[in-house]
Amino acid sequence: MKEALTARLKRLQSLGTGERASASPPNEQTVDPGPQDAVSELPNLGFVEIAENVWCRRTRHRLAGQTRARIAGYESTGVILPDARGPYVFLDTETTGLGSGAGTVAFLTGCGTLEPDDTLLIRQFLLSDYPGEPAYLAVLAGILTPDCCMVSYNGKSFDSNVLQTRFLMNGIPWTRPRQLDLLYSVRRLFRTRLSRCNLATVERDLLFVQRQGDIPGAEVPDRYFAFLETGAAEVLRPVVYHHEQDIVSLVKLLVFLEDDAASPPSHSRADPVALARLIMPGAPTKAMSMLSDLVRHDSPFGDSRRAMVLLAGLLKRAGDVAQAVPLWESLFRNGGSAAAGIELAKYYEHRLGDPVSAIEVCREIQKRTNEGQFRDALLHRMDRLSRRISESEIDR
Amino acid sequence: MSDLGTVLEELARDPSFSDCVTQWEHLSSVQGKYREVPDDLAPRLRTLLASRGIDRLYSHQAESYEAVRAGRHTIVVTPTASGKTWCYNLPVMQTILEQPETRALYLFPTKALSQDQQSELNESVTGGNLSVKIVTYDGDTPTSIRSAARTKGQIIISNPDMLHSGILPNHPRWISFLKNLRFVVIDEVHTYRGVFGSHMTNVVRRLKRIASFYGAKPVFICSSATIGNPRELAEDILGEPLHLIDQSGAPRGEKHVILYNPPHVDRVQGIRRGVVLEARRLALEFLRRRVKTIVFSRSRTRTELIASYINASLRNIYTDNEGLRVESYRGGYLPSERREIERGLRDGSIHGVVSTNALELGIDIGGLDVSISAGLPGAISSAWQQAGRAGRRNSLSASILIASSSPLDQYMVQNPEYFFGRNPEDGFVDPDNLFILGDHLKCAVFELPFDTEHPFPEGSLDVLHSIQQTGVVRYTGDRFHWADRGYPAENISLRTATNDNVVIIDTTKGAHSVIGEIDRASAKEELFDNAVYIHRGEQYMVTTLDIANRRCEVEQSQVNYYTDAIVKRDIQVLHEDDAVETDSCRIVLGDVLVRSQISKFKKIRYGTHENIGYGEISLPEEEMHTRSCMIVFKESSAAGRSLHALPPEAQPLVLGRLGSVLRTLAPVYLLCDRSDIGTAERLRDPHFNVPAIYVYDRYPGGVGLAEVFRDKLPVILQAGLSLVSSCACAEGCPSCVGPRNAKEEIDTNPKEAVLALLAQWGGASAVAQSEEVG
Repeated sequence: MKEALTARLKRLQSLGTGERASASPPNEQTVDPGPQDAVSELPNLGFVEIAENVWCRRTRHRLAGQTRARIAGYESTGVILPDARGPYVFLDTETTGLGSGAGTVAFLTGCGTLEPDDTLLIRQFLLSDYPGEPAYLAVLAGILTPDCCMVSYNGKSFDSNVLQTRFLMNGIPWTRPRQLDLLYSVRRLFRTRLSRCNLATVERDLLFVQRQGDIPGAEVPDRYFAFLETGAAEVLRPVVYHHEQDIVSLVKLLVFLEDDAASPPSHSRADPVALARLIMPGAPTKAMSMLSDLVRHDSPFGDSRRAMVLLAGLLKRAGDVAQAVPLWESLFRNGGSAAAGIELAKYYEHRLGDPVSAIEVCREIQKRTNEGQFRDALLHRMDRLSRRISESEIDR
Repeated sequence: MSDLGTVLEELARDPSFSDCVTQWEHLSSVQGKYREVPDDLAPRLRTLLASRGIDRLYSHQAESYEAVRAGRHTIVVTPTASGKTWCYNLPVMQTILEQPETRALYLFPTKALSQDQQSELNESVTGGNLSVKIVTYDGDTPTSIRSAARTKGQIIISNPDMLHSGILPNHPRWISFLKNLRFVVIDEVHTYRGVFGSHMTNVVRRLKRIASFYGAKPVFICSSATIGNPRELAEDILGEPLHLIDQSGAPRGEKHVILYNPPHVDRVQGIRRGVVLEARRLALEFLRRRVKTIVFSRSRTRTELIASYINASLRNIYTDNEGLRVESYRGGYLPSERREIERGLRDGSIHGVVSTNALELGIDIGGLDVSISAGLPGAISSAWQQAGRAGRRNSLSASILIASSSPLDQYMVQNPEYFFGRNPEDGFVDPDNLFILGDHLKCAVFELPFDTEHPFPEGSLDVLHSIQQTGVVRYTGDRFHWADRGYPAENISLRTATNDNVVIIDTTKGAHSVIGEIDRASAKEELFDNAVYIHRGEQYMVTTLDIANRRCEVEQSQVNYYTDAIVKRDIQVLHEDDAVETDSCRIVLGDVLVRSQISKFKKIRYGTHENIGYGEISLPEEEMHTRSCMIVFKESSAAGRSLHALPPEAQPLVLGRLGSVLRTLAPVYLLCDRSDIGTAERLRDPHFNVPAIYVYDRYPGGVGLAEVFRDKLPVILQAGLSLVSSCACAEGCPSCVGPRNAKEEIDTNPKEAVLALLAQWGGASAVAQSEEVG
C-alpha cells in the first residue's frame, strides 16, 4: 500500500509546492561538489596541511618582558594561579553552533603555548572537512595532554564540553586536563566594574585592545559553512585572525588579572571587596586592612557598604562582635539594612541582655522594611522578646 | 443488595429512563487466572509483592515476565486495573537487582502519567526496601539535579518530547545511561497514532540508532488499551516483531453497560435533551446513594459546567452538602491539585469527579462504581477506556454512555452491535511522510553522522541528498554531517500537525498574555481580522493577525454574533497513482494540491443564526500538497445514475450532504480527529469531468489517512446508510445529513435522496467487496 520513499520524494520535488516545500529548490539532480581545488587557498591564510582535511597555522607573538617567568612566578605569589600548575595551553575553539549538542563541531581549535624564548606560539588547527575529524582530534589529544592546564575563557562549560563530545563521538579516548577558566575570575573581580563579562568587553575596557576589522561571533558558523560549500578560504580570513587574537588576549588577561591583584589598592582596577574576599584565606591581614580602608573612605563605585557587610560578618565570625556593632549601626541607621538590624537586635538581646532595646530595633525594622524573607522571622523574634519583657516585669 | 444494584433496578423500572436506553448490556463476572510468582524472583521483590497483598500473579503478568526475561519485545493489551505496570516493573526491577548497572527508560505519553508512575514506583521501592534509583527527567526537572539523574538513575521516567529534544541531541552526556540501556517501556502505545505516532516512530528509530552506537540493544515493552490492531501498530512504531499478550488473567466484577439516547425535545428539528443536564441528573441519582461516580465530558468548559451544576444541586449547608464531595479534573490544573484529587479518589474522601479525557489514561484513581460519559468520545476504544474506569475486581459496576445530537453519537447509540461487537478501530502511523521523516532525518544527522547503517527506511539517503540542497546537511566521506548552526529538534514539535503555529495573544486593557496556539492554515480560517474567537467560554475579537510573525492579537468583546469564513477551496489533481473501478463508482488515490483562499466572512447572530452581514478578508492564499482519496461518479456507474436522476438543482446539495456524512463518520474508522481530514464535493469536476468527492489528508504530504479511508470506504458507507436510515427525523436533521434549509428551494427531500444514493452506491460496492464488510 505504501509507495516507495524515493518515488514520493521525486514527485514532491518536481512539484515544489506549499510554503514549506519551497524551501528546497525543485532540483532532481543531486550534485556532489566533489574535491575542491579552492582548498588550496588555505595556504594564503598561512595554513599547512598536516593530515587529510587537517590544517595547521603557526604564529609567534613576542610578549612583554619575561612573561613566561612571570606566569610561573604567579604560582607562588598570585591569587588566581596558586591552584594551577603548568605547562599552560591557552585554548579557544570556534564551533559550528552555539549549543553543545552532539551536532556541534569545533572546526577551529587554537592552542597557545609559552616557549623558552619567551614567545607565545599559537597553533590553530582547522578541520577543512568532516572526514578529517579523527586525525584532527588525534593531533589535539597530543597537545591537550592530561598533565597540562588548559587556560580558557568560558572553556569549562563550553569549549571543553564540545571537545569532549567530539572525542567521544569519534571513539578517541581523551582525559580532560585541568582547567583554568578566566571567565570565573573576571566575573568574580570585575562584575561590578564591567557592563558585560564577555571577552570583547574585557579586551576593550581592561586590556585596552582595539580590534581592527573584527567580525561578530555570530557570523562565524555561517562563514565556515560557506567555506565548506564553496571551498573559498578567503571567507575564513577574519575568523582566523579573530581567533588568533582571542588567544593572545587570554595570555594578556591572565597577566593583567594577576598584576592588578598584586598592585596597591589605589592602583587596582578590580572590585576591592571581591579582591579582599579572594585573598582572605592567604592574606587575612591585608584583606582586613583593605576592607577597613574602604569603610573609612568610600570609593567612587560605592564599595563602602559592601565592605561593611563583609567586614562585619568576618568580625562576628572571629568573635569580635563589639567591633562589628558600629558597622551594623551604620548599615542599619544610614542604609536601612534589615539584616544588619537583626544582627543588632541579637546583639542587644543575647550579649547585652537588653530586650527592650532589641524590640525597639525590631519595631524600627518593621517600619522600614517589608521584605518577606525577614517578616516571619522578625515577628517570631518580637513575640519572644515581648514575652521576655513581660516575664521580667512580673519578676520585678 | 448494594446501593448500586438498587439504583440500577429503579432505573430499569423507570420508563423515562428505560425508554431511552438503546442497549443494556449485562456482562457477568469473570474469574481470575493466576500463576505462581516466578521461581527466580529476588526475595526482595517477593517481599514487595507480599507487602502489596500479592501472593500470586495474574497469568498475563507471569507471561510478560517470562517473555521479557527471555529478551523478547513484548506488548501487553489488558483492561484498566489489571495490574499492567507489574508486567514491566517486575522483569525490569529483577534485572536491575541482578545487574545494578542495568538502565531502563520508561516513556509515558503525558507528563501527568509519568508523575503518577514515579510516585507509584517510589512507593514500591520504599515499600520493598529495594535499592533501585528511579528519577523523572522531563521539562520540569531542575537543571541542578539533571546531571545526577543522568548518571545515577537506573529507571528514568520521561516522555517522547524530552527524548526527542533533550536526550537524543545530547546523547554524549547520557553515555553511561545509553551504554547500559536494556529496557525501553512505552506505556499507552495506542496513543501514538496519526501524526503523533508518526513522529514517535521516527523518535524510536533515532533512539535505536544512538543505542546501537553505544552497543546497546534494548528490549521494548509496550502496553496498550484495546484497539483493533495493537500489535501491528506497535510493530510499525518499533520496527520489530512483538510478542503479544492479550489474555487478561485479572478477575472482573459484574458490569452493566448502558447506551442512553436522551429523549427528543423537538422531533422535527432533531433536537434532544442536552448531555450536560442529563449527566447531572444521572450522576446525582448515584452520588446521593453514595455510589462513587466519574463523569467524562468532552471539553474543559463542559467539565467545569457539569461539576458546578452537580455541586449546586448538592449544596446544603445543614447537611454539609449531604457529606458528598465532587471535584472537577482536567488539564491546566496544577500538578499538586491533580495529585490531591487523585489521592482523594483513592482514599474515598472524594465521591465523585467530573473529568475531561485526562483521566481516561492510566492514572491510578482506584476503583469507582459508575462511569458516565457525557457525550460519546470520538473513538470506540476511548469509550471502553472510560467505561473501564468503573469497576473493581469483585463488585458490581455500571457505565452509562449518553449520546449527544452529533451524527457520530447518534450513529453509535443507534447501532449497538457496532459498539459491542468486538471491533474497535485500528491505529496506524505513516512515519515516512516526507515532512515528518525529513525533520527526523535532520535530527538524526545532528546526533550522529548518517551512513548506510541505520533503522530508517530505504530511500532515506535520497531524502538526505535532497535536504542537502537546503544546506543544513553535508555529504562527504560517504556520510551525511550536520552543517548548520541550528539545533533541529528545537523547532520540531511531536504534537502539532505542523510546527508552524500562530500564537494568540490577549491584549485586552493593555494585557499581553498568551491564551493559545493554532496552526497557520487554521489561523487564516479562524483568526482573520475582526473574527470572533471563543476561548474557554470567553469571547474575543481579533484585532490583528500577523501571519508573517505568527502572532494574532485579540481583545475581549461582547458582540452578539460569531463569524464564519467563506473558504474557497480549489483542488488540483497532481497525480493519479492508483485507481479501483467498482460497479458503483471509481476510486482514485493520488496527490492533490489544495489551495484555500479566504476573501469574505459572514457574521451570524447567536441563537437565530441569521446572517447579519459580511466582512472582507485579505490574506495570502494557502497551498498544501497532500494525499487524497477521490470518489468519481461516472454516469454509467450505479451511484452516478442515482445522482443524475435527481433534478439538476438538487444534485449539488445532495452531493454536499453525502460528503459531510462521509466526513462525519470517517474519523471513527480512521481513529483520527474530525479536523484531520477535509472533503470537497464537486458536481462537475474539472479533472474528471463528472461528479466527484475528494477526501483529503489535512497534514502536508499526507499521513496515510487517504489510503486508510479508501480501504475502509465500504464499512464507512454501510455506517452512513445505517446512520441516515435509522434517524427519526423526516427531512434531515443535525444528527444525520443536516437540516433542510428553506433557502435551498428544492422539491426533493434531501434525506431521501442521500439515502437512495448511499444505498445505490453502498449496495453495489458491498457486492464488489463483500469480504471486507464481513
